[in-house]
Amino acid sequence: MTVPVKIDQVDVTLGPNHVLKRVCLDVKAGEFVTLLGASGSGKSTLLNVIAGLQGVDSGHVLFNGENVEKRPPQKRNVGVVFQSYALFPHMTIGENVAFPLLAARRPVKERRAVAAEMLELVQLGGMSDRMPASLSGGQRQRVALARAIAAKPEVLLLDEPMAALDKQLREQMQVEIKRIQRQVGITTIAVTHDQTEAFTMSDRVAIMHEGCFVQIDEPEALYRRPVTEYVAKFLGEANLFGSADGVLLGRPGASGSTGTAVIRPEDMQPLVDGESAQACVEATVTLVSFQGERFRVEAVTPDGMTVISTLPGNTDMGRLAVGSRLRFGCRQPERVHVIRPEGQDAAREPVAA
Amino acid sequence: MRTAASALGFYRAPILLVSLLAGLMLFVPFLVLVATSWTSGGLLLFPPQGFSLRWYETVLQDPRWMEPFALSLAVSAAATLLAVIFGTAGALAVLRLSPRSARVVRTLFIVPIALPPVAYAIGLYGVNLQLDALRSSFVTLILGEALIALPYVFVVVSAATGRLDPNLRKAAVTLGAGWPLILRRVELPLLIPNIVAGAVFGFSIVFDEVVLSVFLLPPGVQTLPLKMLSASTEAFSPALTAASTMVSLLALIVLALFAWLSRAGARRMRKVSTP
Amino acid sequence: MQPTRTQTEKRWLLWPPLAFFAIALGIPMAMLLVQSFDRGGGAFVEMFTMSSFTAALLRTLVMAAVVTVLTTLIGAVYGLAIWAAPRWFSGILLAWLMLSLWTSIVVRTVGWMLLEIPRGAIYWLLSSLGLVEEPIELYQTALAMYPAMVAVMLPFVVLPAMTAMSSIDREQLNAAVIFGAGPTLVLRSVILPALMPALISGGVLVFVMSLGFYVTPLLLGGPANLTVSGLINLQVNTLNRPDLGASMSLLLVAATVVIYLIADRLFKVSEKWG
Repeated sequence: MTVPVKIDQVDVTLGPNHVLKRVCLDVKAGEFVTLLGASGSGKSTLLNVIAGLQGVDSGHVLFNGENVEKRPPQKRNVGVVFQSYALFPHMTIGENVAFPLLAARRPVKERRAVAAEMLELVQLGGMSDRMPASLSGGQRQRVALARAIAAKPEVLLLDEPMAALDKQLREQMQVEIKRIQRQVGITTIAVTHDQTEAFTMSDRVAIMHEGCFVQIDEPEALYRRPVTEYVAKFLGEANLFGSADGVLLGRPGASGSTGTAVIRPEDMQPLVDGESAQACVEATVTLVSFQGERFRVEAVTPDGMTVISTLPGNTDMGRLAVGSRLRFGCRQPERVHVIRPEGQDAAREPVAA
Repeated sequence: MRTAASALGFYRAPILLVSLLAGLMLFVPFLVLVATSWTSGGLLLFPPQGFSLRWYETVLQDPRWMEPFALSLAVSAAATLLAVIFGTAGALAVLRLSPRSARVVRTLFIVPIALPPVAYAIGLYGVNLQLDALRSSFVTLILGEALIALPYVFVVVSAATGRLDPNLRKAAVTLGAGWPLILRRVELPLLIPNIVAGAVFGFSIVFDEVVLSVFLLPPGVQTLPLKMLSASTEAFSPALTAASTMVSLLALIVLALFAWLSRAGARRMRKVSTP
Repeated sequence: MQPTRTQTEKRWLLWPPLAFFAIALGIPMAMLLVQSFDRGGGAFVEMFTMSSFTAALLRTLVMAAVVTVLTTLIGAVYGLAIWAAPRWFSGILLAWLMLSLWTSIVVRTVGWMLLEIPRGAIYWLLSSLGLVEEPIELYQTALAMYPAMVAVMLPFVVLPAMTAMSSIDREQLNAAVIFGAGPTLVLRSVILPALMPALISGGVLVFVMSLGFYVTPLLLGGPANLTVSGLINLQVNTLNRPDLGASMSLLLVAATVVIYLIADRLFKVSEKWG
């Protein structure tokens, strides 16, 4: 089976910036892959390379095994949803959605039928004659999506699709986009800097940092088993400890440590007296914040290391007032993940206090 | 408004006074011109004697006024058409050039504003002398007027091309549209308001232009500004000011109509945008 | 590399207007060159030996300079007034400006003629006030040209000045006033810096356009105030020396275009036009 989208050793330099450094990526048919990274990581450039809006200095872009890096965007058969949606303001919704078919010189009747069908798919049926300016942000995004998939492209590209929406609408649209993507079965590559968004929508997430992929994996694997400290810290909060041969050594990078242990805040729990656990530390609570579905507790060890722990929102917090001193630790050994320095396999291993 | 006023403090009164005097300089000659046109006498005098519209009637019935008017309309329309085509193409081309060459081309398109009309007219006249066939035609006149109008069209259209969202073009390209389709269906429709404004502006410039007509018209015909110019140096009759008044009124009516139409257009867009 | 922009597209959009420039501007300029060499090229030298030409050249330069200074000053004040006046008054100022912009130079010049002729409107006003008895001698003097020329050129300064004033940040102005800046300081530190680029580009435009002035000096200045443009017309149509007319034309075109290009280089005049 050929790979719908293959990025092979793509290298791009823009002015003084080496934006993409020999990146490689395979996307499977029907898969939803998200490029996740901070701004300046090169993720948008890579999306533009796939769309044909940006040329490559070296390397290849292959669609179904065919080299396309020399092909203009018009001939690539991709659909793109832009961050600002880029709807044509002087055309009706229907005309916008039918535009790719107009470009392909399809007859009027087919254009109308496809536009109606696509608008139905994104639940905007019957709004064909409205102007883009009269729609809400969420509706505009649906139109942009309908337009991008109207000509049945091989690949759908989403550039920061939620950036222009407010928080509530964002969550709703993430699920909605996922639904439509599944229904159409289209291979999709999205770009975002928002971890939740990436996790909600994607089958796999590719973390980008300074023009390289750091890790490409399923969301849960990324979260539980990051391969570098950067990934661990980028995907939510983490307690990091230096470790050597299964022994915790305080701060990451402490002398003698050969790896870094990662414990997520929800696995780092306050312990009752005498209870034994992995990665036990004694610390003084300095900050307790209530965040709705959970409490977030920050504590400091005598040697100044910060420990973060989150507890369910219905926990009795009597014992955890600011200033109280208690032990924190991880009750499940398998939840302690050790990042090995480069060249060694990352693996879970039991850590003794 | 209040901040502006208070920030200027004691400078405000003299500024308003000077501007009032300057404004009168713009307005009074026009007022006098209009007043003299409704005289019932036969002499171009201020104050006018009595009131009548007989000179308006005279002008409207006199082919020596109406033919130049028709010729001016035709020549201006042709020249404006050329200026709009080339000015719009230039404004769109500048968008696609590197910043360096864009600067050069932009300057080239604006330079005709600085061109001294008499010198340019002599050059065009030289072309007429070389090619006999041109001498009895309006070709050089129309080309010349088009060049004079072009910078105005270019400037007005450029103002809008700079505001085009570059993402629209990217979107169109990924949706499979080639550049002619993007031009026809995306860029030109969005530029239409400014193209029309540029055309109106360019037309009024050409319609009022007189120097090229002095040198380039075939013998025996006149454009309206030329007819006015010769009327002002020869027969000083109220017909001149009556004709001037009517042309100015016509220009103002067209302008008002245009302003009203574009406001109505904008309002319609707004109405659609708030359901 | 910008794959969304293609070479063919650039060609189709850029070459037709460039071809038009070559025909409508290049050929006439070439004809001027050919004509000025009609009698062996002596015209370029001869014109500088003619006192009528050197006088006209000097007169034109002085006239253009005076008109530019007056127009820029008055235009700045006019633009300021439109910005700072009560709504009704700035409406009137704006209406007068538009009226002037949209009526032809010939019409406006005729209006000034009616004011300035010996028994014109100015005479009528002054005599009904009992100030003069003899018809005034203003028409076809140097003094008669200036108000009319300034009035003709005024929109070219006021329009950019208005754009510049509207870009002044009201918050910045409020801040200046709240921190106790007096009118002089506000004018110098907030308003003038915003206004200056517009005045320069407007002034440059007025200067180069004034160098080519023809209609207004012809009607109001009379034969005693011949500009270079007027002299060119005289050489070609009356004195039958097209070679002299052509070489003077070339000089005039070169002067205006060079001045414009230098100013454009220095002050980026073209950028301000859209």
